Parts: sequence; structure tokens; C-alpha cells
Amino acid sequence: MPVQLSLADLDVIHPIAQCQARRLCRTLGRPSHEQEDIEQDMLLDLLTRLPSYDPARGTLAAFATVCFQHRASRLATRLRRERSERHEASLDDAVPGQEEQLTLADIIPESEGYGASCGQQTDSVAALERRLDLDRAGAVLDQRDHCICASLTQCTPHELGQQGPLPRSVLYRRITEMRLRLLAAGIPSAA
Amino acid sequence: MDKPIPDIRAVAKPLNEASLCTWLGAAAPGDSITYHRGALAREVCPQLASLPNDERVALQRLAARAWKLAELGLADIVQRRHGYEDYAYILVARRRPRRFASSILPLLLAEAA
Repeated sequence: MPVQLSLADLDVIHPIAQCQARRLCRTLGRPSHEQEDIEQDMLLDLLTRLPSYDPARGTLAAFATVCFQHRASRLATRLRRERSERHEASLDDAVPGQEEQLTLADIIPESEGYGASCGQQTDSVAALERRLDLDRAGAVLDQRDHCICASLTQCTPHELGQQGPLPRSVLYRRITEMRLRLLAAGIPSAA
Repeated sequence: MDKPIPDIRAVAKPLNEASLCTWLGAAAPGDSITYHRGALAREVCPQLASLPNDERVALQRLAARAWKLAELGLADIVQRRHGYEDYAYILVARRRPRRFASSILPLLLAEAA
């Protein structure tokens, strides 16, 4: 009879999956937002293997750990293979066959450059619109708020308040001011 | 069946700082909104206590926001007299600058340097 997972079982399995996914992300140097995807992948793999679990041979946690480790190993192999398939080149590399001494950075347009290798849009019109939107939003905001915006791309307001040097109340007041200014400038999506 | 088209310039009541800014963001040049009716200076005065405290603070914030928007050059503030201590305080959307000075490029250049 196939084993049915209960909520109590999931409580045991989830931390193991999280731990394995975090370890894999750290080992391969993957961004932290991929951790959840890897965790889901591992849990899915476990679900497909669950019919072969025999309670007489060990606990579900031990079975899950072995499954996760095997899955992590296969994922690591796949990710390493994908990485090695990419051609790594420096933007400072000289381009051969040119009369002038040009580097890759000189000849690759912005729309097809680094952004393309990161999976971003390579549409030149979209890039132009994004630049114009950023310019418009930047002009609306106070000059002294630009550094807060830059910091907020890295961490949450709560974390920024803890790091200082701005007091938390000042930080939240300035964020409110920024949001209102963006609203008044007709950029509600950024506010 | 007819489906009404939502009016993006419609203002959520009661008017507050966020809804005033949202209205201005969607307003065409020359559009106007009455953000208060009465005698503002008297009503925001804490000593006179003509309004409950929370209403007075909300009104004060709204008026201050309208003033800031005018200072930023996004709107003009005018008032129309209807009677004794009865004024309509009106915010009129201004024409937006056609081109903003690039503000991101200097930052990017500074970061690259």
C-alpha cells in the first residue's frame, strides 16, 4: 500500500529539504532566490519515489534525506554542465581582426550585452523605455534619497533601519515621501 | 452587457495625501480638484479646536502635501471665496516638463568611476 504523507510528515521533511537546498545553493554559488526552486524540485522527486519507501527499513526522514542527497547530486551535475557550456569572456578582451584596438565592451550593444547573459530583456525599445522610466523617477526623487533607493534594492527597510545610520523613523518617513512623489509624478507602479 | 469604463482620475474619498498624489499623477494639465472647503487656517489651528484632533492632523497633512506639490512645480494652489470664512482650496495640475534632466546617468558614471 502506498505511503500517504501527513502534515506531521511534511513538518519533518520540509526542514531537511530546506537544508539540502541551502547547502546546494552555497556549494554551487547560486543566487539565494533559486533555493526555493531547488527545494520544490527535491520535494517533487521525493513524491515520485515515495511508493518505494518501506517503513520497516527506516524512518521517513532518513529515506527523504537519501532521496534529497541523490537529487542534489544530480542537480549539481546538471548545473555545473550548464555553466561550463557558457563561453566566458571578459569585456576587456581585445577583438581580433580590427584595425583599431577595440575591446568586446566597445562592440557589444548594451541591449545584447551583460543583460542578455543574465536572462534580461534584450529588446532595445524596452531598454530605452526602462532608461526613460528610471530617469523620470530619478528626477522626481530628492537627490539625498538616491542612496536609500540603492540600499533598498539590496535589503528590506527593516534591515536597513537596523544597519543604520539613519534612524528607523526617518527612514520610513523618507520612504513615504518617495512613494508620494512617485504617485504625484504618475508612476504608481513604482510607488 | 455594458461594462462601465473605470475613471482613472476618480478620487477615492475621503481625500488624503496618497489619493491626492494619485489624482495628480493621472491628471491632465489644467485639471483641478478641491481638496478642502472651509477656512483652512482656522481649522488646522490646534488652539481653536474646531475639528477633532485626528481630522485636524489629516487636514494639516493634506494641506502640507498640496503646498509641497506646488513647491515641486507639479501643481498650482489657488482658493476661491464663497462667503465669510468659506473658501474652496483648489489644486490645479500644471504642465509637466517635457524632458527631465538625466538623473541616473551621473549616478552610473560615479559608480563606474
